[in-house]
Formats: sequence, C-alpha cells, structure tokens
Amino acid sequence: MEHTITMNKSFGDATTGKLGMWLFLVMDALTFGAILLGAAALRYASESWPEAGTILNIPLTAANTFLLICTSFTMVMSLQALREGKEKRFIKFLQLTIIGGLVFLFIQIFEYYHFVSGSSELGLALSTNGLNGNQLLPSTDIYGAVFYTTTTFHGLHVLSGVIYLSVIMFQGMKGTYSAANYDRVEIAALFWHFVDLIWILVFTIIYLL
Amino acid sequence: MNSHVKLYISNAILLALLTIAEVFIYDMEIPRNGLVVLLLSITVTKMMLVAMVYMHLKYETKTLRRLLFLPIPLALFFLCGVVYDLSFSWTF
Repeated sequence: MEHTITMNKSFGDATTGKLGMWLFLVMDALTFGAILLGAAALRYASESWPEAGTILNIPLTAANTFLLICTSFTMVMSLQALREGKEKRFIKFLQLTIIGGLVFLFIQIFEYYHFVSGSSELGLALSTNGLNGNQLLPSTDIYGAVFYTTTTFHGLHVLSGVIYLSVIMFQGMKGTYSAANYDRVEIAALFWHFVDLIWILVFTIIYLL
Repeated sequence: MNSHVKLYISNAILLALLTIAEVFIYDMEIPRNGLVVLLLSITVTKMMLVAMVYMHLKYETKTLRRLLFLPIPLALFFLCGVVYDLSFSWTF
C-alpha cells in the first residue's frame, strides 16, 4: 500500500505519515528534554556529584556512540539504495543498521552487568565520589537513579527501533518496497536517526559533564 | 558515487571527529563553565548535522523546519524557570 497523500504546499512533498512521525518525534524530544532537565536540576541541587569518567566508562561509551553514528550512516545509505532501485543493497545496509543497534544494546547491557554485579574497583570509585557500596544501582543515590532512568529510556528506544527496522526489513525482503514506494522506509529511518540524535545529547549530559 | 552519498560519508566522518574531540576535551584542564559551553556547542552541532543531513531536514520546506524548531525556545524557557526555581528552598 503506497502512502502518497500529500499535505498542502507549505510542507512540500512530505506525506501525512512523514508529518505524523515528525510530530511524534517532537513530542518524544520534549519527553527526553524533561528527563534531562530533571537530571540537570537534581544534579544542581545535589551536594556532590561524581566526576566525569570516574565511574562511567567513557572510552567504551564513546565507541558505542561512534557505532550508533555508523548505524545512522548505514540507514541513510539503505534509503538511498532503495531510492535508486537497488533493493539488495537496501536490505544489506538495513541489516547492518539492525546489527549495529543490537551491538549497541549488548554493550549497554554489558555496562549494566558490570555495575549491578559490582566489584572492589567500582566500590573504590564510588567511595571516592562519596557514594556507598560496591555496586551502582538505581537506588545508589540520585546519581544512580538519573543514570539508569535516562539510559534505560533511551535503550528502550533503540530496542523499539531494532524491532521496527526488522519489520521493515522482512517486508523489504518480500518486495514490498521499491524506488517508487519508499515512504514507510523513510519514516522508519527518521525514527532511527532520532534515536541517534538523542544519544548524542545523553552521552554529553550523562557521561561527559 | 553521487553527491548525496558523498555528503553522507563526509557527514559521518565529521560526526566521528567531533565525538573524538568531545572525549579529548572532557579530560582537559578547562574551567567548568567553559567546558560545559564547549561540550554543549559540539553536541548541538552534531545534533544539527544528524537532523539536517541524515533526517533530510535541509531538503524540507521552511514551514516544516520552523514548526520543528518551535519547541526549542519553549524548552529553554522552562530551563530558565527550573534554574531560577532551584535557588529557592521550598518548605510546606
């Protein structure tokens, strides 16, 4: 089924589906904005806050950020291939995007596992920053709550994106999409790029600052 | 290679370089306020690159772009409100 209903001239050739996704993304961005604003306010009000890089693993997360940027690139290349009528290339780049998303999630789970299982090194890093225990849990001060709330909310977006793109991929394998019918792929791509865009902000606010 | 693909590749390289720059900057001996401004500037640049190039916002109409950027001043207004409110200690 093609989505070719266009709005008035003010929105160019953007379809209703695309405008709907943009509207959803704006609302989602405001939700993330509220969470990050809350995190900033809690941090400002807190007497002490761990120094960047003393508890969270910056090099690993920077690599993960780079990976997510790469998936944005593979996603846009996938859409470009479809527009040019290269269906096999479209599926290939889409598969790379999905794999990249899964690896991102795996690394995030690995990071959580490290924090939840705890260690004496982590305990030392926590105590240096005025926090108790050998584990970093959501209940470990406001810092733990802020870290887990923000990263889990984003992680769920990545998971949703992976499922969404997988559905698009299976439909693409059945030949649903072509150079004349790529609107739904473009809409899914918007969601995926948004997930990348938000992570860029989360990485800076939660990990680097 | 068409011009779109070239743009996507150069954008990916630029984003990667900015991420590397962020990781180096956070560890540098810079006054706190300067660090915050610098890192947030790089972050906003990266976000704009993703939105404009990968989300194709640069190819959309001005009306759509304006509508999408409209909530940003609103969010900044709320940020100012929250920062102002933090200086008070509310008791009930």
